[in-house]
Order: sequence, then structure tokens, then C-alpha cells
Amino acid sequence: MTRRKISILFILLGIGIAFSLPQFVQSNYVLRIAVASGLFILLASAHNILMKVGQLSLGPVAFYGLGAYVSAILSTRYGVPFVICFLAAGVSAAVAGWIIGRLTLKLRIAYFVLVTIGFAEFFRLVALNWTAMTNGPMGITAIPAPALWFKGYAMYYYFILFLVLIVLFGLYRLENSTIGRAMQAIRENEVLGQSVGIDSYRYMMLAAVLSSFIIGIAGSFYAHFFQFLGPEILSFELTITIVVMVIAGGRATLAGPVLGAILFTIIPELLRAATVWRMVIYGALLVTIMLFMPDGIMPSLVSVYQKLRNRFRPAGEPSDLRTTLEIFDTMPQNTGCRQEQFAVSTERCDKEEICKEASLIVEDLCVYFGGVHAVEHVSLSVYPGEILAIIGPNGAGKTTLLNAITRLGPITSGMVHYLGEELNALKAHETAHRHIVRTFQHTSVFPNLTTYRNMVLAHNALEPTGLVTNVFRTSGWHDAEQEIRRRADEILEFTNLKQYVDCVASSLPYGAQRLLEMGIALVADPNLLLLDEPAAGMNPTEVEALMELILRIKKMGITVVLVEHDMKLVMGISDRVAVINYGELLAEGTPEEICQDDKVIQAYLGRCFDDAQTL
Amino acid sequence: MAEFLQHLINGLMIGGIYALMGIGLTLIFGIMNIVNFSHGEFYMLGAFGVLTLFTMMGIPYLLALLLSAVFFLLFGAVVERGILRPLQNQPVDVAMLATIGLSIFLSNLALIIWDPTPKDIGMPFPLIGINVGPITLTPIRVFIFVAAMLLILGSHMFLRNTRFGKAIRATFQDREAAALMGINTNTVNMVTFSWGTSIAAIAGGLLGPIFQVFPTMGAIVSAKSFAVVIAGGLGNFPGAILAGLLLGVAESLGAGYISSGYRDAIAFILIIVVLIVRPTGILGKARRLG
Repeated sequence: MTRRKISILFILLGIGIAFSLPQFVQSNYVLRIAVASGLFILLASAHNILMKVGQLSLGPVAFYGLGAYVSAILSTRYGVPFVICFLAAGVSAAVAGWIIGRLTLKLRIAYFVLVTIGFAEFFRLVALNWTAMTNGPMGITAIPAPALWFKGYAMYYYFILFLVLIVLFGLYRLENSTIGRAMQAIRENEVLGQSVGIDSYRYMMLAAVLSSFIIGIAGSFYAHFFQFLGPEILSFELTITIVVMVIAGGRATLAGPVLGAILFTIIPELLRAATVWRMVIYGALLVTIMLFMPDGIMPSLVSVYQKLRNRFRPAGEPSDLRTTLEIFDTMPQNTGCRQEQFAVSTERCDKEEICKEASLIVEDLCVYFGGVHAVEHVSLSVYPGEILAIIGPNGAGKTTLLNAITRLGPITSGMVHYLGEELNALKAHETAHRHIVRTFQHTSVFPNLTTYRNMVLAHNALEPTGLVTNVFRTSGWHDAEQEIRRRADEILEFTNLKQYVDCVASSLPYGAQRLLEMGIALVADPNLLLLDEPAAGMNPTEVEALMELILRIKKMGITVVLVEHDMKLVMGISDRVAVINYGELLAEGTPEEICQDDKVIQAYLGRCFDDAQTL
Repeated sequence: MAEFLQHLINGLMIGGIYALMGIGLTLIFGIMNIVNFSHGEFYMLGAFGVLTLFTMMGIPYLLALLLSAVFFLLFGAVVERGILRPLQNQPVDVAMLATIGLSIFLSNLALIIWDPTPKDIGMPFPLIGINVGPITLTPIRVFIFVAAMLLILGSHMFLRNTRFGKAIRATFQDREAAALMGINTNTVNMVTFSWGTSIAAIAGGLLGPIFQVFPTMGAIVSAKSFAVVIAGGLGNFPGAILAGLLLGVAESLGAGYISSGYRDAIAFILIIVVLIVRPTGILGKARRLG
């Protein structure tokens, strides 16, 4: 049996047990815990959506409370039917998520964590003090049941089970979609994601809105299930409970928060036997889990399972190197069709010669950091089809120049034009959509994912498909996925990375990681490829291979701008060389001209490398 | 006017304690990159330490304060070594969750040991009012403010003028470079954490005699220390002092003139406004220590 079949079997079994639970168990106590588990599965899974983009929020209760209060106030004060209350709860929470997201999503890690606590506490104090609307600490009582025929816990149980299944199905579909992969890219390496065209703000906002919507409807369910609502729903303890479920279960996985929610609903109940020691044990347990399973329980279980499997696997079968994140990956398998070579975009020059008209024009560009003039009045043109090398001493402003062109860094004054369009006003990810893609000086890949996954993430940036397409897998979805796989395969072949296809990127040898970077950039379909010191740290053999690769990239009609210190590489493959020193353009010309240029020799080259070798 | 001055003075006293909590938290964040959720619990335990030693065992107040400070110095070192050091290469949220677990553990343990009813430490100083112009000062409040300021000043001097203080500041600037220069960054972590823990415990012991002492008292102080740390700029030492004093005064004036129900909201509004308008904190970007 394949792993996929086993997974499906387990899931079906789980759903079967879940559906038949009220048949076996009559105890209201157990059903009540089951409903609470369901509620927490919703909360933890929704909160986990933000973890998928790498943001930890400590304010989920703000949306939970908002949803609950909106629903409760609408139904008790204005007699609005449940269905409308329910939706209003979701929508109002989503709107709040959008507003708070707009204010906070530019913040990262600790700042984001703390500002979300601020919002949650603020909401709590409003609920506590705005007595006219919320009844303050007394709470809202006698909230009606969703419908008259809602009698007994079993009804609520089926309702929450239904909600859980829908949400999990949607999240599962998102996981393996352009959206899920874009989110994964942001979590793994936000800057690299941007450089291949992923609009991280957009996906973070999507995550925030989606997450708060689900939490909002869960809030509505809470209000109509307990039929009483007080400010305790906004307590920090509840936030902690949700976060514990997500992180201890396994952050950014699909199954982790579900397992976490069930375990951490049941464990405190079991611990009731320990009376006063209950929360003491709970706290100690939490510390222990973090110490021994920092990735969470689910990933630990998966890795134990994989170890066992590898130990007992028949000889010859390849070992299981895929990361845990892909355990439920059910993407169509590679069909290995590659009838055509990469399509050459129309903007590229057809022939293997350099065009006369420049595609990228840098005009009088200055970049200042306070008093540091990193780039000073540089004007430069890049012609389609050429390889332009930019050389110069360390700190000369080469990388700053690349950053300015790809809009990852600031521009103080001056202009950058590409194919007649001004780039100054664009954001980093937008330059990638203009087919300008770059690599980085320090190796920048998606470190915890396989080589293959790295490639797939990079592609998804260019033709993002929508939420609906991905969740319902409408027509066109399969073609799009097929195309992504085909292209990833093609580039793997092109960069000679086939052998590493299932290896985790951070475990690759250094040279292969640098190739992977190039591969990621190529998947993003560049017409203009900017390489920032691709040969840094490579041995001579690897440099040879790299030179050959860059020449092949040029042959495909891709223009290459190369920042490099390896003179053998620069002089060997460049059509033109530009020299930068102290932020200023010192000289520009063919490699031969540059080698003879006195100013360049004085500032950077010393003796030209040919002479150096002969002497 | 007299009322305003009185609020101002009360605000400064509470603000001094917030600043004291804030510098510990901000330094732990700056050096160790840990958002320490158990900081408020150390404050609570410090108050209980003084309650046990001073009220229950009759040891003089100042000695009780000193003994509890030394105890929590060791306690902080144990926590750092046992829980935080093994997690230092994990994502930020793992260590954060571990400190949350520790905080749940400690506050519930306190609940068992000292039961939930609020307790009075009793007054270590004579209860007389000293009139300075239109305002009234009590010896305990003067003592709290002076002690807080002395501790802040002492920490500052330690960071500025000692060799180890220099090592801490170097680690703050760049951990890797500091390690390459031969600084034992693990020791820096341990000292920073146990110092922060001890100072939080002293803050609890100082404020204990004015308010009542109970096991859940750490939570709100914890939240406010975060507000102080954010408003001052994460990892910014002078920023935390200024923000602590400001928050104390703002709360005191807010409670006096607006509504005491929303007094605790001021801290959170401060967090939100500062982070949105000026995410680097009120003193701006300067990553400076001591």
C-alpha cells in the first residue's frame, strides 16, 4: 500500500468514528468534550493559517470574541435569525482581521506577537466596560439555540463536525495549491519569495482574513452553544490554549493543530483527577513538550514513523527523504512529458546575438544610506542577449545596485527603466512579474524543503490561481499544476540537479545549493537574470560548470547581469564588463578593454589576471 | 493642581517599577531573543518571597528583600540552563511557549503553596505622611521610587563600566562576532536572564507592601512590562526606562481624570499606537545598551 492510500484509510476511519460517536456514547459529558474539541480544531486550524505565513499571533481571541459578541447581540437584542448572525460573525471578524492586518502585517516576529496581544486585550477591556452593549462582566444570557429543533448535544456535535470537515477540506486543498505554496515560500524565505514574484503582503493578508473569518464563525457557534457569553472568551488564557494546540501539535502542518486540539482538550479533562495540581502539571507538560518536541507532536510522530519505515524497508528501495510537510502531498505524479524546450518569450531576442537597443537602462542612479553614498550617479545600459559583468572591490556598491534594480533596496534618486517601463515605483515582487529575477550573494534557497519543492514554489509566483480555483479544483487547475511540474522537471534537468530531487535543500553540498538558487531563478521565467556573486566559495571545477551553465542560459536568450569577483569567470564569459568603485562607474567595455584600463588596474585588478598567471 | 501633582507622583512611583520590569525584559529580549512570558511570575514570586521571609518569618524587610533577590538570581540561572539554553537554536515561538508553560507552572504552584486569597505583607516603614508643599509622600513610596532608580542606575553602571558589562553589550550588538572575540555568550545569556529574573523579583518585593499579594498578580504586570518594552523599542534600555515612567504617569492620570475601568487599557493602546506609528519605539532606532 502506498503512503497515500494509508493516509486516506486513516482519514476515512477517523471520519467514520467521528460520525458514529453519538451512537455509542450517550454521556453528555463526553459529547460536550467532543464539541469543545471540534471548536478547538476550528480555532487551532484557523490560527495555524497565520503560522503558514510564518506569523505568530497572540490575539486570536479578539476575532473569537468579536464573532461571538456580534452573533449574540444580533440574536438577543434584534432577534436576527441564526444563519444571518452566523455569517455576520464571520464577516465582521474577517473585516476586523483585514483592518488589523493592514495596521500590523508590516511588523515581524516579536513585534507582531506583542501588537496582537495588545489588540486582544483592548477588545477584552471594551467587552468588559461597554456595559450598554455587552452587559459587561455579567455577560449576555439566554442566547437562543441555532434553531428550535436543536435539542441535545448530539445536534451541536454534528453541526461542529460538519464545520470542521469543511474547513479541513478547504485547508487541505489550499496546502497543495499555488496559494499554499506561496505561503510556504514566505515562511521559508520571504525575500527569496519576493524576488521570484510572490507578493508576501497579499498572501499574509489573505491568511489573516481567512483565519479571522473561520475564528469568527467559531465564535458564533460558541455563543449559541453555551447560550451565555461573558468577557472570559477574550482572556489571554484562551489564546494560550489555542497557541499551545497549534505549536505543540505541529505548526504549519495540516494534521498538527487537529491532533493538538484533541489532545489539549482531553488532557486537562483527564488531569481533573489531579485536582489542584492540574494546571501545574499542564504547565510542566508544556515545557517538556517544547524541550523534547520543539517542532510539535505530529512532526515527531511522522519522523518516528519514517525512521521505522526506513529501518524495515526492503533493500534497494530508496529511503524516505521527503519532509514531513509533504506527507499528505497528493499532487499528480510527474508524467515526464517534455515535448518542447522552454518557450522563449517574445521580448527576448530570437537570435544568439546581442540586440542593439538596451532593455534595462539605469540612469543617474544614486543610493544613499544616511551619509554613506553606496551608489553615486551610475548610468548603465544592458542589452538583450548579452552577459554584462559588474566588478569592483568589496563595498563598491555592486549589490546595492542590484538591490535597487530589483527593488529590494531603496533608490535615492535616478531612474531605472526596463523595456520602456519605469521600475522605480514597483515593489520587489512586481519586478519578477516583469521577468527580472535575481539570485543572492549569500546562498538563498527555501532551506527546509526538497529541491523539487524549491523549484515548484518558485514557479507558482508567476501565474497565481485564485482561492476558488484551488479549493474546488475547477477546470484549468490540473493543467496549471501539470505545467508547473513539467517546468520544474525541465529546470532540474537543465541545472543538473536531478540527483538531488528529493533531498532537503539545506543538506545539499554548497555548490549544488548555488545551482539550486539559479534553478529557482530560472523557474521564475526570467528575461533578465541578475546573479550576485554566483561563484563565491566554489571550487575551480564547480566554477567551470557554472560558466558552462551561464553560457547555456545566455543561449536560451536570457540576458545575464553578473556581479562577480572570480576574474576567470568574468573574463571568460562576459560580453561587456562594468567596473564600479566607491559607488561610481569607473569604466565600461569589453573584457579586453577593461584589462588594459589603467584606472581599473589601479583600483581593483592590480595586474590583470592573464599576466598574473603567466608570471 | 495639588491633585494633579499627587497623581503625577503616584504615577512616577508605579512607573519606576514598570521601568524596572521593563529593563529586565528588554535586555532578555535584546540579548537572548526571547519573549519572556514568565517575567510577571518572577515579580509575583518576589512578592511572595518577601511575604514569606518578612511577614511570616519576621526577618527585617531589607534583608528579606536581599535574600529573595539572591535566591531569584540562582533561580533565573537554573531556568536559563535547564529550559532556555537547550532551545536557543529553535524558532522564537518555541522558547516563548516554553516560558508560557513555565509561567502557568509557577503561578499554579504559587496557588497551591500560598492559596488564592490576597494577602498583606504589612508595612515595613512607619505610616506617616510627609507633606511637601501641596502633596503628601509616604516613606514607603519614597523608598520604592528611590530603590527602583538606584537599581536602574546600578544596572546601567554595571553595563557601562565593568568588563562583563562590556561583554554583554558586545553580545547585544552581534552575538557571533562576540563569540569569535572569545566572549562566552552562554554565560552572557545566563547572567542576563538571572539578573532580569532577580530584578523582577525585587520589583515584586518593593511593590508588595503597597498592594496585596496573590498568585495571579503577575499576569497584568507582565502585560504592562511588554507594553513598556515595545513602547521603548525592543531591546532599548533607556527607552524602557522612559516608557515605564510614562506609562505609570499616564495610567495614574488616566485613572484619576478619565475612568479607572479603562486604566489597564492605556498600556495596550500604547502598544498599538507605538507599534503602528513608530515601530522602533519612542526613542527611535538607536540600538544601544546601558
